[in-house]
Amino acid sequence: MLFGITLLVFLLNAVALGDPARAAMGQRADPAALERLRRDYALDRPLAVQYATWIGRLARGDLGTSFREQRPVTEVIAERLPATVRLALAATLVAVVLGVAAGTLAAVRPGSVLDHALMGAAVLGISTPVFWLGMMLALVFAVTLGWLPVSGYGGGSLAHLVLPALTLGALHTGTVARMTRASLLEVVRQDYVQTARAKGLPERVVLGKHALRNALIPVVTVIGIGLADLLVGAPLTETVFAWPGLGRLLVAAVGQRDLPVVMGAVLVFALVYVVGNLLVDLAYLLIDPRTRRAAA
Amino acid sequence: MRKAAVLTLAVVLVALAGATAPAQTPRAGGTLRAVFGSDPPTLDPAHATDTTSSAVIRQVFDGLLELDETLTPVPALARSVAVSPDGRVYTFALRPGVRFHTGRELRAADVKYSFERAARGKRPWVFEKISGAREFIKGAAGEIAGLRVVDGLRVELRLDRPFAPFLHLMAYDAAAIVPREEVEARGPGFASHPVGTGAFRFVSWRRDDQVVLERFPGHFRGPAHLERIVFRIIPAEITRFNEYRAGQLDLTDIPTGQCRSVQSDAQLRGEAAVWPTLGTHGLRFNVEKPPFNDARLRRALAHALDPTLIVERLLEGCVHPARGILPPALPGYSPAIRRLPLDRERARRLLAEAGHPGGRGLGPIPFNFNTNDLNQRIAEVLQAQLREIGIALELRRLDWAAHIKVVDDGSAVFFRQGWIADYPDPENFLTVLFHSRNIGAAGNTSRYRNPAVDRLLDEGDAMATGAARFARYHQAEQAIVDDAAWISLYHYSSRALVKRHVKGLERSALSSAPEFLAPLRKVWLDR
Amino acid sequence: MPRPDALGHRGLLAGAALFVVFAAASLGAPWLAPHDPLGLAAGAGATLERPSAAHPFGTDALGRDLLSRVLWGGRVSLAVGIGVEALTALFGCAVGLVAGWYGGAVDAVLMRVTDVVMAFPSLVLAIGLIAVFERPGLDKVVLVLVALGWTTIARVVRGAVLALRTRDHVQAARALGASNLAIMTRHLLPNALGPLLVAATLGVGGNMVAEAGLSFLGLGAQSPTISWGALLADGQSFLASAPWVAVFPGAALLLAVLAVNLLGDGLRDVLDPRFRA
Repeated sequence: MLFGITLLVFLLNAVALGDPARAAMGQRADPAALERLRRDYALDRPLAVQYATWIGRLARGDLGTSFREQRPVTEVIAERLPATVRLALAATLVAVVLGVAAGTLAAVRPGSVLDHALMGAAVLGISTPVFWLGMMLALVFAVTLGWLPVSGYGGGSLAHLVLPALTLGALHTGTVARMTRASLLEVVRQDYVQTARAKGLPERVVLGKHALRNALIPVVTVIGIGLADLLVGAPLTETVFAWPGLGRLLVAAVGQRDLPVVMGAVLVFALVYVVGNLLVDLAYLLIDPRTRRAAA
Repeated sequence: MRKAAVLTLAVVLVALAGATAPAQTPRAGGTLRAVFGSDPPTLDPAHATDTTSSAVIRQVFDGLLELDETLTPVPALARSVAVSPDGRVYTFALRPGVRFHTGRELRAADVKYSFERAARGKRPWVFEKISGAREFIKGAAGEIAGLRVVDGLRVELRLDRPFAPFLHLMAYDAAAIVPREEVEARGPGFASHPVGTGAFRFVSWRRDDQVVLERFPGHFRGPAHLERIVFRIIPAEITRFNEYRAGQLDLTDIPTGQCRSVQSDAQLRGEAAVWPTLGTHGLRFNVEKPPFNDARLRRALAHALDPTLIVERLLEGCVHPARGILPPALPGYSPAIRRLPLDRERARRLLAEAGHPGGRGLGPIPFNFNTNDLNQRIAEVLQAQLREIGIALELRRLDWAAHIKVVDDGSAVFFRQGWIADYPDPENFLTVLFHSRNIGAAGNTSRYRNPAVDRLLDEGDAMATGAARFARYHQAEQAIVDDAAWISLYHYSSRALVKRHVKGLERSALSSAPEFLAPLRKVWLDR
Repeated sequence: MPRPDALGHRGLLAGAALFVVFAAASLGAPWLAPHDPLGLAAGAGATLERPSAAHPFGTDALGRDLLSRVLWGGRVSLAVGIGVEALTALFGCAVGLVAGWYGGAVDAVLMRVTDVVMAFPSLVLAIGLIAVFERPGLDKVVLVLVALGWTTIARVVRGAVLALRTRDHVQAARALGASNLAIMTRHLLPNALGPLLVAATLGVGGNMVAEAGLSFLGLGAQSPTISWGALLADGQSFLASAPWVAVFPGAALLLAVLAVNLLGDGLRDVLDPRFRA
């Protein structure tokens, strides 16, 4: 699968308009300098050779050198990974905490005013464009109220993380909330929950201990898919909040036709996707021992 | 034959320093919080091609010369420069005792090394006027023959033929002096950790986040006022504005659509500044390809377009309407140039004469521009205005890499092009953009070929600065405008917000906020 | 199957009503729009005008009437949302049916391809694909969104087919010598229609938001074509000085997406309460 992805990126880049050497030259390009740059970037070699070289290096753990930054791609990516991971995890945390809470509250009394309000808000969260929400949050909480910093990484301070995480998490909060509610309502109707109720256990215990645990399985799936999504879907949030993450790097690299960086970053995303799915499977085992049999 | 002219620029510097003595005594210390709209691609003077990189490079490195606030070259690392009577030999005497950030003393050999290194970088045109440079750039020679180290503190540069703006090239940041041993030790890493002789030395750079510089106490002019400079990198203009309003930035640019409101805002009024810069936004045709190989058709478009809406509405009157190609802030600008006036009747007649009455038989004409909100809005204005004479524009928005490709290779027939002078001389506009020698990627993307214009430009480039030289450029400029090889929309300006406590910041016509290319060693904070 | 939860039906009704309003407004744009959506400002000071009786949504940076632009933009945004989803469903269905029915190596190969596309950062593919085309425009946006969107449907349909293939009527058709194509189109597809419809409805909103996102990156519809995404992208520069330029198209997009999501949720409840995306 990873092989297929790299080949796809490579081919896409080969047919894309624009030449990395020319893009690196600014408006006024000297023919001799352009030629030298193309040689430096090894762009004068046949495509098949370029790709084979890349794969050969990859086998040795070398992702090549960025055209634009003239540094190893591993270094370029590693430098931004912490910021990206922090943002993705914080956004996931926002989504899980707010989403599960809202979903559970809504499920306690289906059809109530609270239920309608929460689910309405969830749909709004899903439907709101990320960049729009980001600008609004910044305007209110940073500029007008002055509670939080407007933008930036702030050397990793927690205050700087809040608004980007809320913005990025909003979309998934809605999804998680709806999934939790639906899943809970489903589980509640099942026999063992009815049994627990019949035994006279308080509703809090029934919902919290028996139902929620089982209802979380589909929720975990959504979170797993969402995590990979968050790593990818971040460039808009990163732009609005001047967050030094992978999303912006990737957009800039595509714009500069910085092929080694694009290939490297896509590979990282694909890996995260694979690992994310693996973690989801592991989480199933943890939450629900019965899937062990199903899986085996 | 003129008599020997030996120019000692040091005198000029002393005079200027006296003239601009600040009313208040500068206070030392503090951090200047500046901002960029994008990450600098490199901090290596040999590889930079953009103003963001230059804005940092100019603080970390020095050149032989630098530009003062009137854009005149004045001595920097060079103490003086002597020019031979034929205008072909420049001898620079270096200031003694200048030290790099590593503590090593500057030598004449550093100049030769730096220039030869940069000549094989991304701006070789800065050095190509030196004898033997073309051969060296192409790899046919091992050194630049016309670049000679005379002694420990003197270098001699010999040109093939006189070139009036040569001193400007020596003040350009591509010609910054780098220490050989650091460059060689760091390899490509030098671009991420620059070392120069500049008033500020490099501290750190977190990509897409911030670049930090600190005062270099051993600078040859004495320590700068500021303790530190932090350049934040904030891509969204609205975010930069918000940070400025929240008090987290000392200077920034005025965002789109706010130029008027900022100037009437009680708080921001005294902090806003708009000044002309050395740039022009224009439209170009590929004059080799149909339909625009027919000058009547190009003139028809020129007569049909009205930049007033763009200048007055889109840009809120914060830019300058254009007559010709050269911007008013450029030395050598002439107010006598006449543009092809808005005249839709004449436009329709020209269309008919060219065999396309009412735009018939033309089909939708592709208009190429690079992705950018303002470019998009301008394209929509052009589209609406040309519709009135029966011409349909098909807008082709491409990202920069794709745009520059279709423009360079001539496949774009009608496209936007902005041009900002690298140094303040008409040569950098007209010769680069319209001389037939520069057809294609080198600058003449119109593929314009006019022997009369070529001749005027060649003459002007070699003449000594003065009215006679500028007259050559004016003739060439008017010919190009009349030929409608370029339609000017407006001249650029810099729109900045600067906090009141920031003192000594030069508003150079070469810089455009949020990047200030001015030497920040002159800046101090009053608080 | 009856649905115990009232929200589903009410949501469905509200969503349907809202959707009909949007569809009608968009279809009626030529008659409803008070001004030429492309007409530049005539008088002085007519750019970035506040909402007024003459211009209920105000005017944009070129003095064009925003209400008219939002109405016309709806045509494109809704058409992209629905059109992309129709193509996506068609393609996704084909892949899902074939993979689910034939199984084995065919299934393995198709699902590998699906994995590749899913694991691919869609944004890169979107930007990358669009950089390939010398003539940007709405058709390219549609192509990109379809190229990226079919995987969900393919998986949903494949899942449904896997569950159906062992059912009696399918086995009976097979025993009677029905061709593969006939089984897929007559027996499998109609029974997989429920989940398909639900997934597709929910996808419509996603497509509309995606189109807006692409416009924001400068890759969307090209003037004189107007879409909400393009309007929103244009308006974001004036968020502080003239918020209405972004607020009205933004609100329109939000409400329309809300409508289709409510519709999709409602359909899910009504058609197949067991189905979870």
